[in-house]
Amino acid sequence: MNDTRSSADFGDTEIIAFKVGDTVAGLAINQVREILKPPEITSVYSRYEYVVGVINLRGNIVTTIDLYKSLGIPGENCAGHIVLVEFQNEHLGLLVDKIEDSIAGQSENFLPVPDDVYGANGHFFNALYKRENDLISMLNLKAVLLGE
Amino acid sequence: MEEIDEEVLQLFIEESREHLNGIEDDLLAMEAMETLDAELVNRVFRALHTIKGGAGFFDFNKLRDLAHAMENVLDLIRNDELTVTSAIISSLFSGADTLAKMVDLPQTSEDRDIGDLLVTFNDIVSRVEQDEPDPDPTDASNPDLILDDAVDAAPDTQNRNSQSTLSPTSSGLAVQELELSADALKVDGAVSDKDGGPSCGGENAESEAKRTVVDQSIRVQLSLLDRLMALAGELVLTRNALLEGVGQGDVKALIPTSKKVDAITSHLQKAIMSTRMQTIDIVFNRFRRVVRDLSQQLGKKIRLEISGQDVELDKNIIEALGDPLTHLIRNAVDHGFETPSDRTLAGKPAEGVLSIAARHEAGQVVIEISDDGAGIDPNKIAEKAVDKGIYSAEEIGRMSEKDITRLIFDPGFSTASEVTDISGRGVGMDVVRQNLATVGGVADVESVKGAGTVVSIKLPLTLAIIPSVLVGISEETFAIPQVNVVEMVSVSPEEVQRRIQRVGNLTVLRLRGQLLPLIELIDHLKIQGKYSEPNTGQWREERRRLLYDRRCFAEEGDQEVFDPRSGQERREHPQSVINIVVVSTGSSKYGIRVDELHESAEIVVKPLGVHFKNSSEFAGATILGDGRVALILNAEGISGFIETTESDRAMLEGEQESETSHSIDTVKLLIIENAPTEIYAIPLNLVARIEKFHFKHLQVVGGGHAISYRGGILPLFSLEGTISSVKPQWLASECFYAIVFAVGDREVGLMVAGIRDVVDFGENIDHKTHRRKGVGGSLVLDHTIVELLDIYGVLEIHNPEFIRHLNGDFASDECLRILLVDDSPYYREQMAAELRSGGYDVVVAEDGLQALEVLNANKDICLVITDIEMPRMDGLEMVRRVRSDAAYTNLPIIAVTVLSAQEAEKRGYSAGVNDYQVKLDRQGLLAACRKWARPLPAEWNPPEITVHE
Repeated sequence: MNDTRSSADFGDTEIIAFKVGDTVAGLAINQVREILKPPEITSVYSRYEYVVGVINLRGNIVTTIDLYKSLGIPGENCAGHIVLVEFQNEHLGLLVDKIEDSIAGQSENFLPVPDDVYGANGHFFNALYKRENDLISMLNLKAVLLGE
Repeated sequence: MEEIDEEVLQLFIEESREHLNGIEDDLLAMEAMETLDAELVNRVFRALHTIKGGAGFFDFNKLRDLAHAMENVLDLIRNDELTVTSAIISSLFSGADTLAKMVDLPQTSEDRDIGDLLVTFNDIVSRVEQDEPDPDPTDASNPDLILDDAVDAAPDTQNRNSQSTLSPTSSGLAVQELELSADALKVDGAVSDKDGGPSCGGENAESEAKRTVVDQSIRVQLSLLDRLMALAGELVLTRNALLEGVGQGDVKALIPTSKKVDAITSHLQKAIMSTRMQTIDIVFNRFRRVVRDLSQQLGKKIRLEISGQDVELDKNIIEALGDPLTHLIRNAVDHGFETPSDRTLAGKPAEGVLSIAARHEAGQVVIEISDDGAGIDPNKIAEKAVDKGIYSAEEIGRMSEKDITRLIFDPGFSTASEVTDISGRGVGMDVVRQNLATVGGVADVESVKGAGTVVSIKLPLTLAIIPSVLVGISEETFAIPQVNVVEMVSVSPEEVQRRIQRVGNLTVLRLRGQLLPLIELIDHLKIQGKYSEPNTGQWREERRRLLYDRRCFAEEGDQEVFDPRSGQERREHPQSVINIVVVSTGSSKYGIRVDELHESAEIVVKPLGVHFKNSSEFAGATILGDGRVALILNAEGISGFIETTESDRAMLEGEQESETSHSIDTVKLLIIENAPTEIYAIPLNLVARIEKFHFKHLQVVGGGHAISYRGGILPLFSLEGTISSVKPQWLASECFYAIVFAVGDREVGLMVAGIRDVVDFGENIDHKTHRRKGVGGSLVLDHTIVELLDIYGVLEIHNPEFIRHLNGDFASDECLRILLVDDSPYYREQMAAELRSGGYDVVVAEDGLQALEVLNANKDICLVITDIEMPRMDGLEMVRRVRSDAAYTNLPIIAVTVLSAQEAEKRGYSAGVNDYQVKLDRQGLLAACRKWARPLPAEWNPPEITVHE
């Protein structure tokens, strides 16, 4: 699974959409392993500010990331759900406000990313997906998880 | 290249690796063989042949060609057409090395340049083919000549030629390789320095790739698998029983089942763990080759002795051991051993012995690498450290030789660019230490100049499960590996001011005369009251004051030391003590302040994710019984939080000194109660036991109380009527406590109403105000005046006969003069009184300097009794001064301490002390006096001891 891709790389795929502040972010269904209610999060000191801590997911230690901080979105995370993704053979949790929807995405509706998406830097996203009334920002996991 | 079945390729790689590992040993054996061992050569041949076949199958042409070229050489050897020389073996070794690299990364093997090697091997073959095999039969049959390792040993011109062309290539290769890995280690060191933490291993990308290849599979005994199967089967059956039991809701029936689950789980755990265990010879065996190559190259004669290769360790640890051990071995061969001629000059056998030994010790594995080489010269190390500005000459002056030798592990020291300057060890010891630390290992070094060096490494058996101490800091739970935990100290509120202080920017803990840096993890790990509420999942962030302010607590010295924000547990116990876990990393020792000490437990280590790859603070995480996550602290990494500046260190050193010179011995006191208004203290070291008796067993014998006890009679006495007029208020109406003392060879019991406490008392004992017979002095404890009992005095009041009987044989002795040295007025008075009552003439001195003066003034002193910790000049120094004078070599000296500390005793004996006694143990002291004090010979006239101020 490619972590960085352009809008043209997306075929027809189901999209999981979730709210992070005012932004509606999305991931292709095959990037999402699981969605869970946040268990107790053990905060861990890390040099990455957006790392909130670790959770115990059925006996595995999973690093959890605050998408607000990683995307640079002002405000407080409501921490409604954790979206579990797999990245470089590791499971990581993305802490989001809430899960919004699951959409059957059509390849022609993926658009290239502008420099700035609702105040967040464009490099955090691979593409935008055009919904009826709004846009879903498709996350670039590498940028979001490693801050690169 | 067409698509290759990954699985088959993997098989090929693994199989080839095994063959290559075998080849190495066999080549070494070939070099050593005296006559042709066809079976041995055949084995190598077959291995190469197999690799060649596999390489051909996968179209790895270069791999195939190289294996083929080597095979040709071996074919000649096998047919006895070519004589084995060191040079040929060396080229075969470099061929095998290249093969191994190619096998590890077969996809890139085609890009590798193997031209030189092919030429080398083809040369060997063509030379033999052109000139026909060596016609001289003596050459082939004479073992000495076959064994030759010097270039000119072979009489045959062809052979000589081949050697002179080969040697530079092969040794050149070896050198290159050596430099490469040394570089890798250095680079690695630099990186980990920058990151402030140890990295996983010192190797370049290539060998890292190798590791991933190695990681893929492991060999397991079939019997072990059978056992695992059996256990799994048992577990399934037990699960069924458990499910059934739960279904029936019969809790009682579940108990045996749950016990069975427990047992099976631990068996399973053990069995699975043992699949990961490998014998250490995997690592050790490769050193034969390293030592051979390197010693040959350096012209040194070194015999390698390996023992304990059956010791098993976790696979992870075994893998991580390779690099640091190789480095240590290389270091030893390169710098540790002298040249054969130097050795002969030094009167040692020309051949050096390098031994690698592994053994189990207290649940850990110890690996010792010892050489009988030149050893490390502490002076040179010290010089270097001062040159590099790591330590000042003054600081060095305060270190012991052993500590100076240990400086080679110091990060600043070992990144020295000059490799070979220091006799002994140069670059990379710091990296060795760090690499070992990543697998929980601790390294230490001991060296005797001229005699050799021993580097010892302590390793845990496994990394997967480690015994740890669980501690609570704020709301977090952390695990500290037991290997790092030295002790746990709790400082009571009233002691905080005295024992926890600030030196420069450091908070330090005073611990038995030592100052240890204290780390407040709340400051460093940004532990915040950040938590998600279980019900709503809401994030709450408690705005808490940073703890930097708390550093002033020593000045404030009151309950404010406890951070008000850190929540309830502190507010609930405003009087709570400060708990400190003292940890050691081998190179440093420090304290971590914790809020709570939980249990110690075997924890299962879980790795942390990519975001913590470069953090040195944590060694992993674990899941607690209740499902919460606890982080495992990395003691090595945490020590990086101690930011000592030069001035801090100087102050710390300064403080340390003033601490030791002014320290008053702390003494453990047993606090007893006669009545609520009458509290007494007894030095705990005098107490043999504390017993609780029923009044109905009390008997009146001959006017006194006694009780039958341990098959004998225990005479009892009480404070009432001896030093107190108050009637004891027995707490429990039927029972009383008896504090049992040993007096001579007998025991007596003091009846007391209650036991209050045991305290460490380090302040001055007032030896004047309340002093009377039976009371040695008084002290203030929790604002209450407590009288310190002089048990022997009390006994004497109670039954003068008893004591007189004990001291009976003294009275007849002629009056011998004893010098008593102690800085504490209380102890001095007390002991002087005891000695006088024992019939001795006592002169006193307050410190070492005064003692020397008194000794000079009183020529008839026949015994010295001295305290150790004293201002101006301590006891040990005094003893050394006295002993340095030949006239006083026979003067008996007894040292007295409040508690018997073995370390202190050792130092004392080496300084020249004859005996050790515990302060206030009157009988022991008198017995020692009887043993040591002898009348001086009449003509005795000791000279003056020079007293330096």
